[in-house]
Amino acid sequence: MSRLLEVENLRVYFNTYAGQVKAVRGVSFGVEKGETLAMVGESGCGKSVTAKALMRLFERTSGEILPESKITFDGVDVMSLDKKALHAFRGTQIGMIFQDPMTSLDPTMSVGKQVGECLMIHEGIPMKEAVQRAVELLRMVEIPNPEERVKAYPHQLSGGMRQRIVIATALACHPKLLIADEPTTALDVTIQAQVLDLLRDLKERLGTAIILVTHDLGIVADFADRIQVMYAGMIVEEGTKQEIFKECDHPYTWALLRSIPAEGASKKQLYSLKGTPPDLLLDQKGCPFASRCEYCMPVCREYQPDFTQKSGTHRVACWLQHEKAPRVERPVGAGGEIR
Amino acid sequence: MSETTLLQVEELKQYFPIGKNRVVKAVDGISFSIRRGETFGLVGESGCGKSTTGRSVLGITKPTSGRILYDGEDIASFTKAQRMKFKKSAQMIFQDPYACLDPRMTISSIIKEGMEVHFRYSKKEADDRVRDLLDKVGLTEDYASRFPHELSGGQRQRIGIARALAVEPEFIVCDEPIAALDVSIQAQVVNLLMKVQEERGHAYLFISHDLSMVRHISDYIGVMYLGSLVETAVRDEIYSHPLHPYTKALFSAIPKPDPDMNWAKTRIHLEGEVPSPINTPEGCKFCARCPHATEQCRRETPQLRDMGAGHRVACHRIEEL
Repeated sequence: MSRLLEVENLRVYFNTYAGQVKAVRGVSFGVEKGETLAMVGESGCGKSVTAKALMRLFERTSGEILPESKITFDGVDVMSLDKKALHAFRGTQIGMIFQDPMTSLDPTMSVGKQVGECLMIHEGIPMKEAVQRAVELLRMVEIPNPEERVKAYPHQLSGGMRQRIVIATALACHPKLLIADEPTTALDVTIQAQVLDLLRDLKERLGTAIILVTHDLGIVADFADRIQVMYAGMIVEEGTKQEIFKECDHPYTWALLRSIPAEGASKKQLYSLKGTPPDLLLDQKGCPFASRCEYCMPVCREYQPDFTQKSGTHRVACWLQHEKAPRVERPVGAGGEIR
Repeated sequence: MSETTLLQVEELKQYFPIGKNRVVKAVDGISFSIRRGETFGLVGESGCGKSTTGRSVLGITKPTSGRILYDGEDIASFTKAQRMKFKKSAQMIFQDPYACLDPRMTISSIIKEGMEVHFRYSKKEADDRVRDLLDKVGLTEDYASRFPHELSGGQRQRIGIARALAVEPEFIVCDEPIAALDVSIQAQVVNLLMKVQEERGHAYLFISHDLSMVRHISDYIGVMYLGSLVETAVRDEIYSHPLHPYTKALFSAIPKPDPDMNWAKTRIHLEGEVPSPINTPEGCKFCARCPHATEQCRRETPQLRDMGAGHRVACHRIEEL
């Protein structure tokens, strides 16, 4: 199998005082070697939880990955790894970039030690050598004057610099997959553009596969190869970038694309989805999007739709695809077309 | 000054001293005006002084120098009665809908608080007003007895808007009102802001770093960089013909939701980051990152110059570029 990552029926539930929050409800997808998969959706749709579950990062929290979930990474069954093997797996196979670079760096540790830390742990090299390697890594992420910067502490660096440090740390052990969870949300637009350029460049040079978690469709259009749209803990549509932006078939994807303000059409009311996403504490009957969907049919409230395969790469979970469903024209976006 | 001008800011400077001989020049001499019923969008990267400007024009912080004229009167020389009137007339909507509502007050008492100061309503009138306002912002009257923690982010921001509207203001400062919200909720809140403006005709100072939303809501736009206003123009003009090198770079850095566009190739690559606002030197604030900077840019601070049709730019080399 050439697939780097294969996820089947992933379910992640959180036990809280209010009850069981079913954050991810049966998600199946895969990532090829070297490709960029974007997960898009609103907050609380389970995109971050899905990404974190790939490394089983919920072991010590109230979160629980249900036993029927299957995660296969490069031929290894991640769910069956014991504690020690999991530790090594997390360090060397998958790198992670978090949203907020200030909270993901240790404020009491110099940058060089932080970047070198995982080299010391996973490759067993002494600290001096690790810091030397850290200088090279900082150079790789285009931090000016890396020999001096390794001695700096996170508070002495700007947001963009910190995110570069986080990227260097994530890439230190040459992971095959990089999970970037909203990597540029906390950054300004010009800095965001710099960080995205860097990620693109590194991806091409190192051939790392990337899972990009974001809600910004602009970044997705620029950066991703394939897109996976999530809603209320489920994948509703998946396809290549072209398929999602031009030939998407799920009403939620339509709504996402239509809610982007069109250039030129100002002072008009923006397209907005009515209502709010469903409560993840509750069990869902039918399609998760039914309550907000303009095209909702009686069947949508009763039964969950299966995926309809539109092409080799494009699949959509919607009852409108059923042969007996009324034919619905794809609505035009705010700019006069789906952009 | 024309009759329709509601707010006029003249050479506003807001410095914050931080220890010996060190001054943060958060806002360094900016001038603009807002007409009645108009939306002025203030954009720029974090730390450029947009929020400080918003706070200064409401008199929350006392400017280091410069004048702020509201309805033709300097807000610094207001009498107590005038100040009271000004506070009723100018309101603010905050960025973080979680922090700006008192968690121990019910929604109805949050909305009523301003009304009780400025109007003499009976209890019934006040309750009716709260109901009207909740209705206006798209919530049902059941929400009146709830507490902020029972509401989602978008609903809280609606409460923030209802609270601002409660005193019937003419001018509202919106400080990043949508930054903390989800994409689909952002559209709802922006639609609401535009709807109430249409009904009531108040003016907005809309502060945001979301350039596409600012474009959508504003009539007039000002771009700030490190405490200075580098370019102001009518919305369509500034988006179609940005003149200042920073504006050009900023606009080109917005990722476009178009899968066919090779954004990485077409955008203007801007090196480096925004310098520190502490003790900024003379000269153009942008010169350290500007690809066109000359000796003159490092020496002299450029002033805003009118390039025709109200399009004002602060750049020495604008004619050559």
